[in-house]
Amino acid sequence: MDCFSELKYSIYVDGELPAEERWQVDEHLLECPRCRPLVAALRREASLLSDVLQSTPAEALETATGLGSALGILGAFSGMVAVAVGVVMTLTWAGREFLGSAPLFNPLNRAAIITVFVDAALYLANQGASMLYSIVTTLSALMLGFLVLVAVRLALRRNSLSMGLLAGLGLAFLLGSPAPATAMERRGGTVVTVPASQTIDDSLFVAGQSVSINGTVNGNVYVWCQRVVIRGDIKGDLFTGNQSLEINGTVEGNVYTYSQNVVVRGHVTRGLHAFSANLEVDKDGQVGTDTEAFSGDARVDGAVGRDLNLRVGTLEMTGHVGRNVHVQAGDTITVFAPARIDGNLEANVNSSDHVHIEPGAAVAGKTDVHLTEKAPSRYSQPRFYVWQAVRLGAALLTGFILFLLFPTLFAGRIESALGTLSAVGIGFVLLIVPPIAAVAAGITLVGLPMGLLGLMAWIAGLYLAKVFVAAAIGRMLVPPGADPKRQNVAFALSLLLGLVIVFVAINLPYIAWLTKFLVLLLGLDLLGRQVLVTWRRTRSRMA
Amino acid sequence: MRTGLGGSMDEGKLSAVLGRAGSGDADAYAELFREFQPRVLALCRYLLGSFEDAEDAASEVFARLQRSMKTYDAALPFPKWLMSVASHHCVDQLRRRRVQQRIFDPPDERTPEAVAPQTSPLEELVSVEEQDAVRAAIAALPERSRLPLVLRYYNELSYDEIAATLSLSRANVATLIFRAKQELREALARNEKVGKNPKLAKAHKGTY
Repeated sequence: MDCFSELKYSIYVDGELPAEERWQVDEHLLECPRCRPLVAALRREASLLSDVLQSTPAEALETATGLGSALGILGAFSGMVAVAVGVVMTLTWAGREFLGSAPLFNPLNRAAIITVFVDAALYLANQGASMLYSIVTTLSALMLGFLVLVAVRLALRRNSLSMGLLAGLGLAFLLGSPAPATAMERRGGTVVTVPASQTIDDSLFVAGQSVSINGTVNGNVYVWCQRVVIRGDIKGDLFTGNQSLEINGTVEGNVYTYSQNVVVRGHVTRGLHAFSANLEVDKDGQVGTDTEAFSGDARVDGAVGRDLNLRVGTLEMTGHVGRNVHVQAGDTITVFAPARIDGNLEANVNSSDHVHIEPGAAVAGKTDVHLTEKAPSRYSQPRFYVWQAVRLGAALLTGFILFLLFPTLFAGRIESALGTLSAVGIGFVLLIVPPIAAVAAGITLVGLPMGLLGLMAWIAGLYLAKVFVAAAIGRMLVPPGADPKRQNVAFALSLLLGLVIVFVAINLPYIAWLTKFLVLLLGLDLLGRQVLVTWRRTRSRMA
Repeated sequence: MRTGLGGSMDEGKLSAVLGRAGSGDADAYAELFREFQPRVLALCRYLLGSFEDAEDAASEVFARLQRSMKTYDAALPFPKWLMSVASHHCVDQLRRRRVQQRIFDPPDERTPEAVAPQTSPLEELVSVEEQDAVRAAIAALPERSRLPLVLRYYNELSYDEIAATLSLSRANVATLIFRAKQELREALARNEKVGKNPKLAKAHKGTY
């Protein structure tokens, strides 16, 4: 009789052959010396598979292989770094291409980043209410969009009517919400001129290479170009980002500018807020209220109605300041003869011989010169390392206590490159949504305590983010053993290792801001996911 | 119980807990959760292929346990019943991922030996690393091989039960399990980086 196929023996070994066939196989095996060892081997294989599967240790399941996930992390990290570098390079290129070669538009420039915030703060102080309104509108739209996406995804997955309804509702709301009104005139082109005879009643938005405004604009003017010359009259505020700005006419509101060169020969009725390489208030120039500037070099020969606040490389002045002068100068401050300061002069410089006040110049109030000490590199100070060690110890203790209290919070893993990238996205949502939600909740009196609690939880989460990332990294490198009695020690050791890696990473020179940010996003995602899982588990225990 | 996934409860204690659970005692469900969650999670992980989905699925199984307990037949061993509930849940999840109702197209009926004529059965594994390698290789199998294999050797379901769970014929199940084993042997042989010769593979200690 012929031998049976291996498939048939496999079924036989699993005890799944019908009785008749089983007898045939039994008989064949009695007389066939070739098939007997094969069947015995198949039997051993089946029991091996049972044994191996049924003795699966819990942690063996979480990631397929340690190496795979380590490579995954590496891949994800390089992916994220590549994305970040790409964004930075694109921004730099776009800055060069569209805004001229103004060096200030380099996004790697720390001062530029600061200015963005300063400008935003200045702008908020003046246009706060309406801007807040538009921010809230935009963010709610974004959040709604996000919710709709989530709802659609859930609806697709769960195939549930309620989810579909929710998605529809969100979409309807999103589409139904009014678009922010734009009542401004837009202009573009290489050379844009508003002729002297023309009056524009709305706000004016201009983008071009060279812009001249000789006529009258009754609203605000927003200019984004290489060179702007204002000879006419702007009744509102002027916002510019460009290489050079000349104000020969009148701006009745404030001027907010981000330019390489700023020259004021005409009148600014209210304040001048500038971030520039060179700032000049000409002898005919006048600023009605305060002048605030971050600038490489500043020259003030004209009049400033109120305070003059500067953070500059050098300052030279012959003009008149109605109140106090407050200057922080990297290099020198020179006050020439006809200059008059009606208030105090407060100067922060690196050396006392950097301040020159000519005898003919008048300071009505006090003259204070403070010396700013140049801080030595933090990496050269032992104090830095001591404090980092203290922080690391604190984080280790916090993480360990949390682990004893809520071990499941630390079960999160960074599974794959793709998973990590999406984790960064979720982390970003977790970074921005809770404070907004907390503020939104805080608007009503009842929601105020909830909002405050939420905000506190969010701040705690920001602190804990690095602990969670450290725990995940540590566990990836040193997987915990199976012995439950040593779990705590093993966790503490792996957390310590992870923390050391994270602390080194977030203190690296030059890229610390990037690693900090990534750690924050990853940690928020790990925490958020585990809170969700724990919550679900608790719910299922309650059920 | 052979499992490394919890399992400290003896028969008497389990039936007492099940009795309490039947009368709606929340603590009893908490005990069942502690006792069986690791095993259910491991099953879901093998079936679904992703740890996150597995966590979700295991949570769902326990969240619905109170309701599904009504269908529990005390004649069956509880662990076996619970694992079959979990595997049904996972298979439902997998079905939902796909638009079509069937996870499996029936395997074509070519002679299965043609897949891997040279591989020989895996045998005794000595070291923990070898066992880990087998588990990793199982987790990496394609879904259509992995599901029947896991249902058979982890859940210890019969071919008929597997066929019912996966909406396949009994003959299809037999073929898929057989192919899964062959794929597994091939994968492990590749891991050993000794080419196709299974005699050199570390996993093959015995002779036949």
